[in-house]
Amino acid sequence: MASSSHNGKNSHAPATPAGSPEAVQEEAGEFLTTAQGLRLPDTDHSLKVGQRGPTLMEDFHLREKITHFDHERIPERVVHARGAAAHGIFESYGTGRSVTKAGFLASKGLRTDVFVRFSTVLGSRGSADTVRDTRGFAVKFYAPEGTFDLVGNNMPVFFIQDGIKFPDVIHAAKPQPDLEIPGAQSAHDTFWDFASLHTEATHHVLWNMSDRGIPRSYLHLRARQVL
Amino acid sequence: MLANVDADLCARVAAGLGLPAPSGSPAPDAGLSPALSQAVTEPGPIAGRKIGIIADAGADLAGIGNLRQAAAKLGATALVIAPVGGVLASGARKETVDRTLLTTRSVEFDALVVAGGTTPTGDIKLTVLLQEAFRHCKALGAWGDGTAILEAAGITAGDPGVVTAGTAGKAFTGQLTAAVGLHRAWDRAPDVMASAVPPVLTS
Repeated sequence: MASSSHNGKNSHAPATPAGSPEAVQEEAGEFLTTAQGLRLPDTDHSLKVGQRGPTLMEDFHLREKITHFDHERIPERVVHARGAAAHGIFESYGTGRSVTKAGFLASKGLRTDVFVRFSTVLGSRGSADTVRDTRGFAVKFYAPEGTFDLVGNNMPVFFIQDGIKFPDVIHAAKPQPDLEIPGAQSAHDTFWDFASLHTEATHHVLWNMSDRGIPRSYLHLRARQVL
Repeated sequence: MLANVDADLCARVAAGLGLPAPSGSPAPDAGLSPALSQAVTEPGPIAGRKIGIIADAGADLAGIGNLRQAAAKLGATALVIAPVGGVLASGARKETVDRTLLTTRSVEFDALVVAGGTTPTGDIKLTVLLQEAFRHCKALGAWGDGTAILEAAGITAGDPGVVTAGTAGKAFTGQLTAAVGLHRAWDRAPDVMASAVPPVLTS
């Protein structure tokens, strides 16, 4: 527990804690604390009924420590979990005035701060970027009127024409649930099953399996709003 | 499913699966959209591309310098690949070796060029490097007697997307960067994807 920020070492504690023998101090002047800051004499032993007795549930530090451990992993988001992003500047050509009220597109040369995130769709943590997959391209414009989010992919079509089928297409494309393979890409039985029975996905399947699925680099990604 | 997309594609997939091709009713040809097509006919910008230059201690360092400069001017990076690491030096000219044959693979590069003066060694790693790039339809080049190394790997000067010249002058670097700008030499695809080019084993 020594490394967690709210349950770590307290270097401002007095040199000798009351009631704590010197031997249990980790280092001179530093002590472990509970999540609430209560100084701990020891985090290695739970309260027990006597020397060989059962563990006592009144040991709040034991329960807190184990509960914290059980919950410390945040589940990965389902799609577009892996990505990289960069800050940059969008410069307007100024030709958007006739079709939009958005200020950042209205004046020639107007520069707007942007944050762009590139992502893969299916891969989990540790998966490869080189696998054939649709790529995400999300741009956040920090415009004077407020933040404008433009969410895109590198392909202008999609597998489904109704959002209610999104869980189905993603379940089909994710790795086989019993094997967890193949990672990050869709060329496997469950997806072919979906694609062959759900023919409106055909157009996107052809894009996905083409070389658009393996862009050369982020520089070569062509983003499009999904329509 | 594919029968309603394209009869030729459907027939090829069916042949690969050993199945009779079903018939369908593909939509009439929608025409080619340059904005959506991956089949580029004009070279695009090559910023961010990587060109590998295969060289060794005897290679034409002035030519490597020319190519490096031409690539850098267009925002591309040239990396020197040699049998061993270190620095290639000839007189006042120096080129640092960026990759050895053990530390690279064709996936790193958009194009590979064999520098003139490089000694043919028949190293299988070099043959694999060049053959992989060839089969992925990447631009390839050589100047001077570097052409012999390409040929030893089964790559002929006249093949699509293969640029050769006597020296690494402006004409050569211009043709090579244009070939890189096309991304891939798709004209080569029917041959290499039909496995008509056997892997070359050198003794």
